[in-house]
Amino acid sequence: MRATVIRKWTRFLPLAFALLYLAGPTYLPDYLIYLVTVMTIMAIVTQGLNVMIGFAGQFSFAQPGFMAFGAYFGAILSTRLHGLPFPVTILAVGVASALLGLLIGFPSLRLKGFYLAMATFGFTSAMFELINYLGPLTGGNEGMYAPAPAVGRWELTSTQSVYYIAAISVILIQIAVRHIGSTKTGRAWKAIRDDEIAASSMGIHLTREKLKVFAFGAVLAGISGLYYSYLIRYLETSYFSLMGLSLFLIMVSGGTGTVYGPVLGSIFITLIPQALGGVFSQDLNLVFGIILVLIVLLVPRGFAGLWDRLFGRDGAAFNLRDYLLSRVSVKKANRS
Amino acid sequence: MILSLVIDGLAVGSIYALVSVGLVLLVRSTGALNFAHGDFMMFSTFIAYAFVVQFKFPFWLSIICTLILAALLGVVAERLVIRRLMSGPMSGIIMGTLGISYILQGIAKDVWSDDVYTFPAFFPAGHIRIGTALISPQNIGIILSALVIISVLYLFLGKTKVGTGLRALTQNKTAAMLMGIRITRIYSLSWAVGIMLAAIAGVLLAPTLYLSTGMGAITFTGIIAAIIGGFGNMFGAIIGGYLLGILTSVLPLYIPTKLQGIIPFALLMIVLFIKPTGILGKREVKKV
Repeated sequence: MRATVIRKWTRFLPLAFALLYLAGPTYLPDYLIYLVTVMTIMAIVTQGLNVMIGFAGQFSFAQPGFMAFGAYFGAILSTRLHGLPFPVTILAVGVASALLGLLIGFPSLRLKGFYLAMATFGFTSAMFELINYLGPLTGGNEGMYAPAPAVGRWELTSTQSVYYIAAISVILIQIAVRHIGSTKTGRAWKAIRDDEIAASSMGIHLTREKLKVFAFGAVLAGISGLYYSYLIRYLETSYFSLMGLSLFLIMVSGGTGTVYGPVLGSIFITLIPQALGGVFSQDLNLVFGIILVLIVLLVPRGFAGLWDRLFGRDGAAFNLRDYLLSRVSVKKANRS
Repeated sequence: MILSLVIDGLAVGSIYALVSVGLVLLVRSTGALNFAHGDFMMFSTFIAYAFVVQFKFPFWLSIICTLILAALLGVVAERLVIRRLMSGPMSGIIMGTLGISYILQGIAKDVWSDDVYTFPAFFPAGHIRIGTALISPQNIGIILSALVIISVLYLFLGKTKVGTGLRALTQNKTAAMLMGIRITRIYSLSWAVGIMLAAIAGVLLAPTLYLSTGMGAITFTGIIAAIIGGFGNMFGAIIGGYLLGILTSVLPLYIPTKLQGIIPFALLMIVLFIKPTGILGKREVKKV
């Protein structure tokens, strides 16, 4: 009796968490608002990577390149068309990134595994070189000023507004990814990940599904790049080239192929430098490298895997949730 | 002009060839594309620097010590990380080697900082004039040393028992096991050899370039060379390395300097689009 009640209420836990998170700027101190916004942006781009690698099995180094594209494209667009409403900018960046994703996804029709990884890496490097080459448009090596989100003359310069934009986006994305697994497309992606040949003989259109997942990853990366430009207001390609490792770290630590992994991972990875309190600030990459190797070796399914093991419903030797529930019902039985 | 550029290209190509042949060796034996290869190279070169400059060992002794330590480094990485990830998904092994790459960079930065060092040259400096072309003895030295190393590798793989075992493993793991080859030993051995090749490449490269912790970026050029030549074949990787070296030296004559950085990736894209299996690659047919 009590067990079912608990089970019923845990269903509302994500909703409560989402509300608490959305109301963040009203009670969080300024520096935490900034930090949580960074986390949110990282969660968005990593979710795209997670769907590509964890759901569809298409390895990608292209995310930093798409992020840089989204950031620069959005910044150039809103500088040229002054006062363009920001939802239009977001939409335009999304569409442009999707088109670019289709273009880059094209090699994936022929490539697999390491070859695909290298082709996407080539794309990212070429994107950075191109941005630096197109100096008059992008400021080249000197970088470029990025405008704040605006609607007409009304400019949303505060960190809070970026927080809300990013938070609403990430919640929508989480809901979408939560449900994508049970759609036709999501199942097709998982089938391709598990066995391409079997998937295609079951009538799955490999080309179309792979292009879809590339476009999906590209849109999330492009949009998060745009949000990042809203947050830091100044663009340099080096910001994005440094990001590669953190994305993989977030994905792996959260749990590759899980819905909540990127969120958990981005909280963890963004908090590490804060928790270390500048002790290892010189050696952050060393720390991250060690964490990455340890996670891959010891908890290959990341935090989400750990969560499943403790609270999930199946497939675990020891399940904390069932254990607690059984304790509760035993107590109830004893009492009555 | 062209001749000296081609010689330059052959010298750089020798380095690329040594790096990419190591990469292909590791892929063929343990299935791991080693994203830390360049960082192993950087690390080993710093070790050599320490022996030559800081401990003032004679040159030949430093090289031997460096090679032993490089082999040890490879075996440790294989034992601790790679072997545990081999049976998992490909993304796991990529993450593992990426992690190693950052660990090596981090340690190198702690010990040797971000400074650039000049590695003492062991081939005579200056230039030889042949016709109108200026050729540096250093480049000739690099090319000849690389040829010697590649021949030694060829003999090692072809004539020794261990080498034969390694080749058997790359062809069919199960059959090799059934023939009584201890494949776990071969895994360690291939990592030892692969990292030693990287160390040699680093020691050859360092005098012509400055030595710094950023040297590891060569991994991606090495992988591109391997892909251009065909991943299935070690001699493809050597051809790919030389081709890439010559093209990256000669092509800047004809294209804007700002776009030079794109050359390797442009070549990669062209090869991937025209013949994804590389120049010497065979089509892999997967049976269901």
